[in-house]
This record gives sequence, C-alpha cells and structure tokens, in this order.
Amino acid sequence: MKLFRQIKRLTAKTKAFMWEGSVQDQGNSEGLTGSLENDFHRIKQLFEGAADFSYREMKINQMNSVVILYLNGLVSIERLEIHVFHPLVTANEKLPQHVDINIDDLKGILSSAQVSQGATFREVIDQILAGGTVVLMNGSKQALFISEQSWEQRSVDEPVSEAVVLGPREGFTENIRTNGSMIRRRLKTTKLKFEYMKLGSISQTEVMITYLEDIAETSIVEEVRSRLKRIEIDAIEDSGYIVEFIEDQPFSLFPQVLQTERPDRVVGNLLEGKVGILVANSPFALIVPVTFFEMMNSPEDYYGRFIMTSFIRFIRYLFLAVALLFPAIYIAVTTFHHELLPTNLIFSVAASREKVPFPAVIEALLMEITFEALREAGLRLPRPIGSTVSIVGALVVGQAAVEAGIVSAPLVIVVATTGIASFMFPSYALTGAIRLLRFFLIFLAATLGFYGILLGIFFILVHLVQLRSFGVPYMSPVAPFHFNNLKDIFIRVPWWMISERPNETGKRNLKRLNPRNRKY
Amino acid sequence: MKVIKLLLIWGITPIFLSGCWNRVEINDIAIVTAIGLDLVEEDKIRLTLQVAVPSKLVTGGTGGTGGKSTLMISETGATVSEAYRNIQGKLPRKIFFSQSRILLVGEDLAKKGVFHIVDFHTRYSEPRINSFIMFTKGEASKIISSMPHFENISAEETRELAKMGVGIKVYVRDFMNMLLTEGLEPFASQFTLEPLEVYTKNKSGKTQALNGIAVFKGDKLAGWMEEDETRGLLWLRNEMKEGVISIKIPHDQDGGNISMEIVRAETKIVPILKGGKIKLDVNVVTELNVIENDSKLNLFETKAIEEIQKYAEEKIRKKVELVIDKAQKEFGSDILGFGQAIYKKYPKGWNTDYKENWEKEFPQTKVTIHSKALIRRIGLVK
Repeated sequence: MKLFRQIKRLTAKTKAFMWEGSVQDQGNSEGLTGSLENDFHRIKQLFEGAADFSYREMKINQMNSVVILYLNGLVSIERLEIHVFHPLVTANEKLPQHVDINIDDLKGILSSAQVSQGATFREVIDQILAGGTVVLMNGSKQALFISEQSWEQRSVDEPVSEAVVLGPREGFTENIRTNGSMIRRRLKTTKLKFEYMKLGSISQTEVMITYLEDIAETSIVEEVRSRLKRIEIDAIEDSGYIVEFIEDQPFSLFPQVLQTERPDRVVGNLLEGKVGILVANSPFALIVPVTFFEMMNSPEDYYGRFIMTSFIRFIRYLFLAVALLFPAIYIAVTTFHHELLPTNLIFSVAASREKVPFPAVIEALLMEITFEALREAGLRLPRPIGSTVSIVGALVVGQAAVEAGIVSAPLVIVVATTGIASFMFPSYALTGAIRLLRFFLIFLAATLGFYGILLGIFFILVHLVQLRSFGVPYMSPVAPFHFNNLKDIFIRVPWWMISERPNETGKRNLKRLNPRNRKY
Repeated sequence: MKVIKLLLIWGITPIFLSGCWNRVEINDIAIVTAIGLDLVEEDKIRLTLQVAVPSKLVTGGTGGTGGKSTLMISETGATVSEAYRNIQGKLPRKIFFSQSRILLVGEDLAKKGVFHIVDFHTRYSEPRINSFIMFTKGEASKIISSMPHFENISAEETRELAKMGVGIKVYVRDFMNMLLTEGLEPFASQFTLEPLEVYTKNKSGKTQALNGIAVFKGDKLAGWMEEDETRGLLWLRNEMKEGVISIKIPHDQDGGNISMEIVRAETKIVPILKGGKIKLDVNVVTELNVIENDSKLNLFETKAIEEIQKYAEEKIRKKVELVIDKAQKEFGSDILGFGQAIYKKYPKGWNTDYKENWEKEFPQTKVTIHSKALIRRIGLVK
C-alpha cells in the first residue's frame, strides 16, 4: 500500500504542468462585422502560409460581391463549379441588379444539398477546416456554409485483422461517416443514436459515441461520455489513443476495450447493450464495456452452426492454456518434475537434451524471443521479403539449431505449438497479454516448478477477477456467476435458446427473442 | 527513486530466496529403470541399479549407435540408502528413482526379511510405490542385466510383462498393505530367466518370465509356489481376468480334451462361525466359453454341456484346493486373506479368539470349496 502511495505522489508532480498554454486555435468567437473587406482580410491572415487555402472573389450584381473560401483538396471542385460557381456567375440573371440583396436570396440560388448559416469567425474557420465551403457577402453578418466535401479515401475493404470465412466481408474505413453508415444500415431504428464530439486541441478529431437507446445502460453511456470529454490532448491519431485514456486499469496487461474493424461486431455488441466509439481516421471502432469472454469470441461464432462453434470454442480455450502454459510446463517438467513423464518420453527428451549446452530455461527463452523477433520481422518487412524471412526462420532457426545441438528438438515443438496457439485468439490485444504472461510463467516455472506455475495462474486469476471494464466485471458471467448468460460463453447454444441479453449490460431490456420461436 | 529501489528489492529477493534448490536438468540425472537387491557377505545389501543411457537409447538421433543402452552399477551397504549413497559416489549424474517401476529382490535377502526394503521404497520420496515388487530364486542383479528383445531396456519388458495379468500383479504399496494387515500375509510374483524356445536344439537366448509366486510369512520369504498354484491364487483373490482351462473327457466317453476360456470369475470367501468353531466356505463362480473341442461330445446337447460344466467345476475346485492346501500345510502362511475375511464378518470374535493365535489356527481351519461353472458360448461348430 505504501508503494502505491509513493507512485501516486510521483505522478502528482506532473499535475503542475498546465494545459492552458498548449497550442490550439483560440478565440475568434466574435461575430462577422458585415464588412466583406475586413472579414475576408482577417480570415486570410489566419490562413496565411497555408498553401491549400483557396478563395475566389466575384461580383454577383451591381451592389453585391461575394468571396468563396475553401481548402483545396477537401472539396469537390467539380461539384462546387456546378452548384456554387455556376449559379453565382449567372446570378445577375436571377437577382435584381440594383438592389442590395440579403443572404437568404443568395441561398435561394445555390443548388447544393446542404447549405447552412453561421455568424462567428469561429464557425467560419471550423467550416473551412472541416472541408466546407464558405460564402461571405458584403453587408451580411451571416455567412453561408456549403457542404461539398470530397477527398481521396480507401474504399471499403475486407477487415485484415479479423478475417472470417462465413459472414460479411466489409470492414471499417478511415472515414467516420462511412463507418457510421455501415452501422446505420444494419440497425434501421431511431433508437440507434450517434453522439458527436471533437477531441484533440489541434487535430479536432471527430468522435462518435453510438448506442441503442432503451437497451444500453444510461449510466454506462454517461460514463463513456464523461471519460471521453476529459481527454485533453493535442491530437488523436487513432482510436488506440483513446483506449489508453478510457481504460479502467491502464497498467493491466489485459485489454479492457475491444477494438474491432468489423461493423457487424459493433452491431452485435450494441444489441447486447454495449457502447461503441467511432473515431475519425481510424478503421478501428471501440466497444465498451467488454468482458474477457467477449475477447475470446469471433464474430464468425454466430454465423456458423452452433455445434461446430462450440467445438471451436473448446479448442480456443484449450489453446489459450497451451499458449500460456506449454513452455512453462516443459521447463518445470524437465528441471523439477522428471517423474511426470512416461518413461519412454523421458528417454527421448533426455537424449535430445544431451548435447544442449544451456539449461532448459535459457533454451526456452532463446527460442521464444527468437520466435517473437521472427513474428515482428515478418510483420514489418515488405510482403515479398516476408515469406523469405519465414523460410529462413523456420529452416535456419529450427532445423539448423537442433542439428547443431544448440536447442533440443522437443523444445522446438513446444515453441512452435505455442506460436500457433497464440495466433488463435480473435482479439489481437488479448494475444499480446498472453504472450507477455507466458514469459512471466516461464520465469516462475524455472525458479519454482509447478508450484510457481500455479502461483502465477493464481495471480493472473485474482487480477482478472478484480478487473472491471466500465464497471462491468471482466470475468462475468463466470465471476460473478450468472447461469443464464453461460449459454454463449464456453459453448454457443442455438440462437433460439439465447432469449436474454447479457445481464451485466442489457438489464434494461432483456428480451431478445420470442421463446416460442421453435414451438410449431 | 525510493520506489524503484523498493521494487528492485522485491523483485530480486525471491530469486535468491527460492534458490532453485532441487532444480536438476533432465540431462543431469541418471534415470534408474530397475532396482535389484541381493544379500552379500552374510549381512550386507548389494544394490544394483539399471541406469538408462539416453544418448544410446534413441534411434535416429545423432550418433549413439552401438554400445549398451543401459548401464549396470552396484554397490554394497548396511542399508539400502547407504548402498544408494555409495553408488552415487560412482555416478557423475544424480540418481533418480522415480522412473523405476521394477523392484527385484533376491532369494537370500528375502529370507532374511524385506521390511526395511519396502520401508525405504515407500518412505523415501523418489521411488514409486506403484512399482512392481518381484522376487527371484537366484540373484536379482542377474535378471536385471538380461538383454531385452523388444524394448530398448529390459526393465520396460519386465514392466510390460507384469502388467499383462498373466501372473499375479503386486505393487510395492500392495505388498506394504499385506505386510501391515492382520490376517493376511504378503506374497509377490516370482521372476526368472527362461529359455526362449523349448524342446529344440537351437541355442536360443533367455528371456524374462513371470512364473509362480513368492510366499511370505511376516516379512520373510517362506517358500515358492509354482505356475499352477498361482492360477489358484488368482482365482481366490478375485483377480482372474483371462485364462484357459482344459478338461479331459474320460475314456468311457471316447476321451479327448475341451478347452475353455474364462470370461468372468468371481470368488467369495464366507466365514461361518458355528458353536465356537470357524469354518470357511469358498464360492467360486466361473463363466466360460468353449474355444476348442476335440472330444466326441456334441455340444449342442444340453446334457453334454452340463457334463462339461461338472468337469470344469471339478478342475477349478482342484486348482483352488491345491493353493489352499499348500498355504495351510506347507507354508502355514495366510496369503489367502482368510483371517481378513473372518475379521470383516466377525470383528469381535476375531479380536478375542483368533487375532493372537491365528498362525496356529490357520492350518487347521476347515475350508469347503463350492465351485460353479457356467458355459456361455460353445462356438459355431458341432
């Protein structure tokens, strides 16, 4: 306890740093003056040095002239020409020549779909920065905002990190509007809410909280809202930034926020009463609150047949144990508990270790770290070279090392099996936690044998049980136990038997389906 | 800084505290596969260990062709553990008993008493109490050093043979139990080397064989029982799992033999206390399938079946009788557990009347055998 207090004291020092002096667009809250020259001049000054800032002045009749302002690259010039420039150039045909017209008249001749108004410099600047087009007119204290945004973007693609065989193949893109539309397309109800906010003092990143009204707990939605609002940072580059800000226990190895590329997964979770967070320029949506078991599920579990799914889930949990424990058990058995192996197996293990110069721990660490390096290298390298690396890795590190007698063959099997096992989990973030904990358990096994492994598992379980994600116990519905929700944890019962939403998040409206579905 | 220091201390101390005190790499142990014990120089115990040499064991590995796959090593001492420490002085690797499933004891040592051997084997943490305990007429070390035919190591063959259920299966823990139980004397299987082929001029090698049992009185060897009696003991102990019995049809019925395999055998020992006298009923029920018939009897007739059943009953009765006779008359050792059966049914009577002088009572106890044989299947051929 004393230790924690000291850590707190250390972190308290950083509070002296004041946020107020940070770089951000400030002020400009005063209204437009109505004098085109002054207003235009002021805006031009603000954008000085920004080469993508474009404007065009034109006279629309004898009395009035306008300035059109936009950022090059964020607007569709083609559409601007059709819906803004063309009507304005030909305005003298429609508007009275010698009358001082007001802004509404001007609005009337524009054929753009989205035209709105604003009166302050702040609004004008924000509109321009967000890719809008602003029309200022002399004598008007109002400005027209035209939405004709268009920029180059990636098309909707198959999600890379969560590929499935069965099920929809579209994944989120970097465009938050497209992402929102993918969710809306799946939930055609007014209950689906998108709450919009901007985060990042410089980046002004759009963030959307999405949830289903009457299903999601209001307290959780409110908590998400307040945690997001508390974020004060210069820029949000990806949803990963937000994860660290809103997690309950940022120092835990286990992810408490689910990052997903799949709109169907977001929708599935919204229906369970969870809250989604979409972040502009990030193809990863966030889902909170999340449980450990949700991390172990793949969206495909719900599209395939339930018996097969249950079997695959069993395999997944089995290999969770393998990924976590196999090297540790190997070390414990070869250095402490020789009596555990069948006699013939101990002969072959002993024979293969005969020439190895290192103790089993060093050997295992050597191989595990090499494997992690291979993994990382394969990820970073350009794709054509990537396959070369894996061949070299498999052949040289595997075969040659065994033949040279630097590592033993059984250990290569152990490391390879563990490697495969660690790629089985649908959640990338969880994989990381398990990979790190494996090393922790290897150390324990090397010093204390099975006793150490059990101690390690004990610590991990205690941690997992006390962990919470937005107030929801991480291990629910196993601890705290809720029998009805176990239908979709280690096995998946057929859909028509899952009549309730998870108790922790969907309590407001548990009814999912009519239980008479299959009573013909 | 203080925090970091504290964390460092917390992190480092456990490593030194535990000290990995019993950490031994798998290639630093000498894996004992069989233990042999003999008596030498009147009062010294010779401990013989069969130690596996892993590099010579695995085929297809790097090098390791030729050379024996096991190493025989022995040393003497006043006790087993003393001999064990003396052997350790000659071995560069730590002796590791836990993989050994064979404990062989020579005749001379067995006659002197085996309690301290079993005690070492169960008290010390390394040896398994589920190793097979066996006794041999000659020296134990000779059998241990025999060459294997199928496996890499002869001890593996010994273990497989013991597991088969042909002979009697006695683990060290069973032996210990029998030794400590009242009204039950210990026994264990007898192990010998026998020629591979018989009635041939070929100079065939020798192979291990389980035949007969060593009968104990207390912890001292009382004598041996041969193959036939072993079968009877299996029957009595309810351990008959598989086997064949053959009966001879008398000449007035045209002679011939019929062989039957045992499907199921059940034996109950029922003590009856009447008028202060103890009497034992042994009920043996056996189910049989006919597997060979070279007699003239037509098995499709119920009468013939009944007749065969009668012969079989008689045969089984004789087998059981033989072992009871031997135990009662020759050894005076209650390996059959009759005393136990009495204790279980009449605990008070046992405690007052028989507990003290069971050794004298046992040979005189009257035993009646009721044998029942049932033929279940007769095969397809008339």
